[in-house]
Amino acid sequence: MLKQLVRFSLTQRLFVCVMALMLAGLGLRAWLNLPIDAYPDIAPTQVKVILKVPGMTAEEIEQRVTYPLETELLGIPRQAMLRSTTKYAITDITLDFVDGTDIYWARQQVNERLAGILDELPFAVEGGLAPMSTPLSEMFMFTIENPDLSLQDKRQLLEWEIRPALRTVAGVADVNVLGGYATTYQVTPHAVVLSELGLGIAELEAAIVAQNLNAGVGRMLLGNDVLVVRVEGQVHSLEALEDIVVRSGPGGVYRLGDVADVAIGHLARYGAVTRNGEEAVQGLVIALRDSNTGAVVEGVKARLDELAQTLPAGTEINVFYDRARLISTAIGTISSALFQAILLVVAVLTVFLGNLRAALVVSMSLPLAALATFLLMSGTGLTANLMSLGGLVIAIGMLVDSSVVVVENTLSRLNQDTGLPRLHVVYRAAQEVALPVVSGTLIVIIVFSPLLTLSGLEGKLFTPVALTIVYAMLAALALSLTLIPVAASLMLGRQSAGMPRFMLRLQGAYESALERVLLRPRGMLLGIGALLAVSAVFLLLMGKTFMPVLDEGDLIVQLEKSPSISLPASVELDRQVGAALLAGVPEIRQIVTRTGSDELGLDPMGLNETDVFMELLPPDEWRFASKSQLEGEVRKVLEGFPGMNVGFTQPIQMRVSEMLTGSTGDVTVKVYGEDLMQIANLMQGIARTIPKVEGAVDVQASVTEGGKFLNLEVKPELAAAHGLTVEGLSEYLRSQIEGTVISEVRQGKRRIPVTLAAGSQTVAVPATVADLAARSVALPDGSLATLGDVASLNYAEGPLLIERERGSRFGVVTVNVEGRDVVGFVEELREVLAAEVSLPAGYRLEYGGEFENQQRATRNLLLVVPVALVLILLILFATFGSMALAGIILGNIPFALMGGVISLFLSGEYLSVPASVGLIALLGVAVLNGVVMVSHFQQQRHLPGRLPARICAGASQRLRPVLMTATTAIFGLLPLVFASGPGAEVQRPLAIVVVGGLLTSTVTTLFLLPVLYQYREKRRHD
Amino acid sequence: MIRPVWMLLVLWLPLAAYSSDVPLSALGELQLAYTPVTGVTEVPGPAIRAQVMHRTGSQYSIQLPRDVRRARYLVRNGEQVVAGQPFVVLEGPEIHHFLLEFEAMDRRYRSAEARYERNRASYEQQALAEEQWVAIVDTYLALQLEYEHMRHFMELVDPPQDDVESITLHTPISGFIEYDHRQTALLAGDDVAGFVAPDDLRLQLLVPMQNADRLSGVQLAGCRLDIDELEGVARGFSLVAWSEAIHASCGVQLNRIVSATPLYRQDAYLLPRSAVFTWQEQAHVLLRGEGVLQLAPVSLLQPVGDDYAVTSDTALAGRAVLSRSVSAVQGVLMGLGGE
Repeated sequence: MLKQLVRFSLTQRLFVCVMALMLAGLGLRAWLNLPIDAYPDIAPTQVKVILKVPGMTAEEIEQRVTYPLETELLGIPRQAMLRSTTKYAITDITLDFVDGTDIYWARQQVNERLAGILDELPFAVEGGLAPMSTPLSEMFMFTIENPDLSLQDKRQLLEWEIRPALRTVAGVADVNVLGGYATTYQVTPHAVVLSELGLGIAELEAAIVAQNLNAGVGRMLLGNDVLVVRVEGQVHSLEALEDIVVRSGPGGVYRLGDVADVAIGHLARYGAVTRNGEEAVQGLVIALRDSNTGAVVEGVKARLDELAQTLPAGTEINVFYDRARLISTAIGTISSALFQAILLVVAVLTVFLGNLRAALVVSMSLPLAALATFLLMSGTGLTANLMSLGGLVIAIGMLVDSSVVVVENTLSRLNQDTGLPRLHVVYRAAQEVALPVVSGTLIVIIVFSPLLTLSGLEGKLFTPVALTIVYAMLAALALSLTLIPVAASLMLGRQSAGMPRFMLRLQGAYESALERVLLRPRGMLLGIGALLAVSAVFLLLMGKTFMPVLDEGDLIVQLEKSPSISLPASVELDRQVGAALLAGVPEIRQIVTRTGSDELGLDPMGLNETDVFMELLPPDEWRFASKSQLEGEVRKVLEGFPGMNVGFTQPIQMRVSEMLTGSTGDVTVKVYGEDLMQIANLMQGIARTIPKVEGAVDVQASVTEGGKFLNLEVKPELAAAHGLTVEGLSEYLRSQIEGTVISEVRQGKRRIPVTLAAGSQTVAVPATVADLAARSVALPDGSLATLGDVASLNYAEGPLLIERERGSRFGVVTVNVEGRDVVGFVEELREVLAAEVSLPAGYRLEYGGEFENQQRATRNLLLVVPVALVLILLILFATFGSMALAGIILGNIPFALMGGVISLFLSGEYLSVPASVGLIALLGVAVLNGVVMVSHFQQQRHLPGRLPARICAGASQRLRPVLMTATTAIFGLLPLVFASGPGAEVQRPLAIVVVGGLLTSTVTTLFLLPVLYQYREKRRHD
Repeated sequence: MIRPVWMLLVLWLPLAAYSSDVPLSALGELQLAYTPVTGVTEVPGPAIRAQVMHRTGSQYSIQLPRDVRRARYLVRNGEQVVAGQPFVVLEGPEIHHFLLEFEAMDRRYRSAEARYERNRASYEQQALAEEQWVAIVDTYLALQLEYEHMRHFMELVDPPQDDVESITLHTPISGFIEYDHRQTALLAGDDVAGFVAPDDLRLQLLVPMQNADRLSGVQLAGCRLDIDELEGVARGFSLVAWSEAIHASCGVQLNRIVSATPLYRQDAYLLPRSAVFTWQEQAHVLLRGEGVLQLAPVSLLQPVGDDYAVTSDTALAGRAVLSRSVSAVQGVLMGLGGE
């Protein structure tokens, strides 16, 4: 079949050329339309349920909402993890489904269960499924700037002008609104007046609700026409709201304005935002899952540009986070590496082939294979990102291998000058190598197949790498058997076929060196053995980590303050920290801090938690050489602010960590148990112990305990006498303390909630317990009492935060690791905690975070790589019909790996998943080189002459392809080794491993393999 | 390189939880501000119900001697009037009858009086039987009583005009007039109006029972009144208290129900709300000392504007409390950030 393919291509050269042009065109189109993102979609199929229960404590919500809902949700099939975080007034339940689960099916399942139980949940529960986004969906953040607008105006502008406009952009799931004040029409009843009128709060509320609406009546016949009749009562202004009649009778008509203060107020604030020390309003664009980030950001920007003319004069949209910037920087880094790699590979080919035309023929496969890969990526739904494009860069060196083999053989055949027509020579040359080319490609594909079995984060990251490599290799293979022979037949002649002079000299030198080695192999064997031992020691000493941290270009500092802190106090500290950082670190362009929860509840932080988002200047404007030095400077400034826990992260890194483990940090120690106080004590003990382990920084024990509540117990005998119920009292008090939304006023597209709330000029919000106890309460029977008269007030302690996983409560201590590897750190940490922290019965620890991913990746690879090796062994056995020869080729692998390990150690990088992928790639190259060498020995086995001389001659003839394969791969990866921009961090360890490994594997292929082959042949003859 | 101040901080932090002083040197670059504490003797409480009233019996009321078909008031209900000021015109045919009746009564009374005087001499001379004399006296006294009653009313009537179908009444005293404008008919014996002297106008307060004995005054918008009397009988959950006479500057209307801020006798301190934080389940403030911040527990009473009224076992008067970055110091005490 392969022969037919080659023959067809050579007989239909025009058709092949046209097909190549079409491939180029379609590939180019695919590239231009390919969704672009920084990372592949790493989120599992995840459904979030966010429920808000105003006024309820964490423990109460856990009992009345989280626990029943979890019980219901636990029954959903295909779920991998059920996690919940319950805080004051909110519970956030996250369900991860097993990979491959359809997100719409998953959401439907969750929705059904939720709908089934909603009636059993407390009346005040509001919320439901969160938008269909992933943790990477936060792609565009901005603040509204206008010195003439108040925070309320800015919030209204964002909420009612900008947000609806942005939500119409394709791919936008929602726009989260943070900070500022949500305007309300606030009704503050006068308890005394209500009591005089015998009006209860419920009646007041009912009067407002009943009158603030329009009702349809029907149609009335007017002769031959109809007239629509409706009742209009909807109010549109504060004044109209004041005029609503709440009591009418012999005593007179009482309007809302007579019994209450009606004024513009705001909803209770659960969070705030500051920008450069001033309170601000922030918009956060959340993209739909599977949307094209680049296109969404572009759409958002275009819509904002359109809106700019309609916004109040002087309004500026200050963008402080734009994922497109990271994408363009990261993709730019990789694209530049790709471009450089192509140039270097072409240069190397020209040098080795000694012929520009031959080099051009081979190089033709590079852009076309890349374009074909884009076409396949587009067809299979892969996005262009750091990982998939990185895969292409890794493959560049290997892409040319099959074309090199075809062209090199064509040149050799042309060189022999058999007198046959050129087209026929090309056909013979191509069909001769077709089978080895296919099996070589097959081996490379098998080598990378273990990556397709990785699960979890590493699977999501490296599957695109493996797929891209497979696509590229298949495309290169197809091109090498179709277009390349056609191009060779058109561009190569007999004059192109000579061997370059330097290559002839190199062959001579190699032959004499190999001859000496074959005569006295012991010295070389000892040398290589020693190097292998050294690499083994390096491997043991080397730090291990999951993944190098991608420099996202921005920095986030997470602050954790006293758990009982109020929002104004928290914002005040944020202001101070922001101002100090701006003054002390000029590399910061602007600082946006976010405290507390967002409106949607996607990230329900407490009032004591702040994310300090720092937009940095471009690195060439820094005083520091690296980001870690800059972080050090930031850390130094933050040391001036005691009383706060500090953690460092980046926008995507933070969300990915939260997605995977529910918390941020390189290492997490989870304490599972039942009693929250006991969990809190254990967490404190662990947090105190962790700093004893070298490398521990940013140790944070999430504050779970320390909530102080005021319990009001209604005096039953009095309550019964005056018709007071617990529900009635709590409704009344909620309106006094937090405010209750009872209706809304519509003004055009704006909807302004009407709230019952204290805080007017005449009725202040209670501010002490004594104040609250002495507050007048209008009882349902019209009498007036103080709260202290009808209820007893007691303090109670309770948890601030309750976290659960698969139905069990847990607390988490997070720690970042600095200056050492994560795996070694965790091993030491386990020992230290086992010695110093004693766990009561029923309590257990689990280690997670980045470490967890690394462990899982290692387990997966240790299982799958041997399987791949066995497969390769089988292919080799099928090729050579000899287990010994297959063994010799496989025996080359450790020597290839040693170069990778040594170079990794010397470069200071850790053994990470990318480095492991590099080692896997090395397997392929080492095996391919071995096949090239050993197959040639086998072909020459029947020639006359002494064995060493035969081996030398054979090896010498294979020197050029072996060196070409190695050097193209090395030069293809060199740009990645030296790339410094964001995005290079992930691929660099891989490139270092492959380059280092190729150096040693080339040496062992050229010298060790002939020695082993000689030894095997001697034994066979003996 | 770790600066000495941070080394000090790191060494100090583990001990912080057990110490009641926080060294200023441990607070790094935190912006600190202090506010002096002021002492007060009265603390306001949450608003209570108050009504502008007069105590029972202090109102001068005028009752109609006869039914009246129509009354036209010349002053607004609740208006402050001066003695002698016309305040109502009573109109209708019955007014003419009433005037005739008064004239007749006047004549009857004069006649009875003359008869009485005449017969008294006869009686003294025992020229008149006892029974007859008693009948004369009874008739005379009954007419006198009836006449005086009508005369007192007529004293409030402005001199009659030509129109005999209406009379105009003027006010007996200076004060606030009160009448019931919802009445559909004025019958004999009804109050045509009542008058409350300005110094009888007071605030009737419903005071929460638990604090009533400490009530010293009450605050209306721009006007402070002392408490005059606390009644001993509870009304529901409250006790009734009466303020002193309402000052003219208070600008309140008769019978008006208002929310008033009660003032309770209490030696307390006023300090900013931003100075208070909770530490070991108790509200605390941080007092500025020599190079240190000293923890002082306080009991929160009431919010007063942006301040709190507090009590404390520690003498706070004249001291300065930390009023900025307090939560960060609280975090220091909890051991946060001490990595």
